[in-house]
Amino acid sequence: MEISKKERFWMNCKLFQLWRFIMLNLKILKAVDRSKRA
Amino acid sequence: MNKTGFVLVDGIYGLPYQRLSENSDACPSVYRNPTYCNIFTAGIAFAPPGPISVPHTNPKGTSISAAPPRTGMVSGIIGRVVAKNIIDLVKRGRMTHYERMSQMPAACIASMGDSLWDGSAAVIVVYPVVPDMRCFPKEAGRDLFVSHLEMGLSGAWMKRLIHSTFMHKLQGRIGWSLIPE
Repeated sequence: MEISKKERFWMNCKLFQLWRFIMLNLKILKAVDRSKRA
Repeated sequence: MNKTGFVLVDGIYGLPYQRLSENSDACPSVYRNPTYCNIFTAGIAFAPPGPISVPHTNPKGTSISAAPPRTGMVSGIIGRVVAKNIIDLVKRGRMTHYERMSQMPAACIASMGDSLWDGSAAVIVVYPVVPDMRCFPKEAGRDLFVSHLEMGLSGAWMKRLIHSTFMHKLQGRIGWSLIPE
């Protein structure tokens, strides 16, 4: 599978990637929060 | 040990895939060998109870089945559970910590350029590692808010964040125990 020009643009768009970075952190923190119950 | 050399622990072994997929309690929780109580295993050392997706056979008869991942974050979490239980056994004589792979998250980052300006990485987050059909029956056994694949510059930032925080944890600096494995 090849990455298209449009996908490449969004992969390096700083503002969009900042949003994705925040969302990734939320996802990981939600999972870790459940994990720490042990 | 089983015939492939992995240490048997407190999981339920020998179940067919169908029953295994319905029973999330088949995964080990304290990672202790039932025969030799002073033997614990973490990471790739222990034998998983079975595959995490439907096993297949190719035309030549080779069995193809997906074993649960037991490296990286998973081995770190199991290491924590085992270490805390050993402390418990020494101090109190009983174990109080447990975590099955059907309750455990995992994150994996494949870097494709480490620059914080134009780098890239693929981030895979999955929760739980072993699908739990009882907790997430309509989502194929996984939490679909958490389980995600992301590719782009945010992955490179995440890689740097995880690298720095993990080194902080490894060196036992302030707040190290709050940082996830």
